[in-house]
Amino acid sequence: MVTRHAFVLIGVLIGISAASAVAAAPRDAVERSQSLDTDALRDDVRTNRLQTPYHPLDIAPPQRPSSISKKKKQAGPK
Amino acid sequence: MRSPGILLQILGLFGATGALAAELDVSDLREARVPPPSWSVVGSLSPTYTDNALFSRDDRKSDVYYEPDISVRLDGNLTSDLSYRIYARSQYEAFATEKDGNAAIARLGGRLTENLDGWRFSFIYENRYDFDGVYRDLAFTSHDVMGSVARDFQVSNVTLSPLVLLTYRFSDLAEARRWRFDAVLGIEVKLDPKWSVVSTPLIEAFWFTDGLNAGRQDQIYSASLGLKYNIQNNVSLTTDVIYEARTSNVPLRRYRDLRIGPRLDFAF
Repeated sequence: MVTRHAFVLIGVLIGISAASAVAAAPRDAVERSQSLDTDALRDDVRTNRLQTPYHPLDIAPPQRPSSISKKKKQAGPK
Repeated sequence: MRSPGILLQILGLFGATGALAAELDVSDLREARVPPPSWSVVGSLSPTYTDNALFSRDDRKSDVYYEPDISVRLDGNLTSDLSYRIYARSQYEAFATEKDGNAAIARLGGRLTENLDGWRFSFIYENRYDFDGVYRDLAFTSHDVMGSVARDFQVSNVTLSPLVLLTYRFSDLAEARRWRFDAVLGIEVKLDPKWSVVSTPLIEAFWFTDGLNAGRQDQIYSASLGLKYNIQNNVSLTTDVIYEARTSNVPLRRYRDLRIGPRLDFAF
């Protein structure tokens, strides 16, 4: 009877420790995702500092708002 | 007797207003011609040294990892101050020794940004696929819904780029569902046209809502200092030192980490 109780107790302990090990895995998928997200945020800050050129696949070169206002200014005094 | 006259005057006023509005609409359309959509490939490549590859509180292992983060974007404008972006993004970490740390994410997303007096208000939706290993096994799939406010301030040779971001993650893995708040300050001090000192301090807070992580609250505090060299306007090389510490109400989730490495950022 005592032996049976001991086996049950050992089984429960192994089960609990295994579950804890799974829950407490140092770097599970959620942890890795969190790290990649933080890195992605830093990457966004860095790449936002770059000047993105217009891609050659553009059908026509885009007109910047500043060029429109320049044209307006040029047209004004005439 | 006077009432029909007044009525006519009112109708005339409405008519004139309508005509004026129509004229304004047409002239607005002429004036605010929006640029056509443009494609770009934007990304970062880096080998980085870390003194805590597995983000462990007690079992710290140093390693070097390679992390490419590459996006293909379609950017366009709906109006002169409302822009959209549709993107696909791939990012992974491949460790030299600690292969358990390898992970990858594929993202598909869309963003709407309203520009109001220099403030950028964005609404973002992102469909994400998180993998164990470098695209080895699909770990979970998520839908992130985000809102952010950002702005750039230029003071002499210093550019400050604050950003706040709030996210909720819907996921097929209960443990991944959570709220996330980010406050980031991008700092760039230009030394000359090629060289800059850069720093990106940030604070993040996470509130996990479901599964084994229900009730878990994490906070990440990070500071960095780097030197940036502009190879071209659209290509730069930055070497920085990043310190990151995470606190949590789950003691095992606390860690600190120091990273050093060069990073090539590009936009084509």
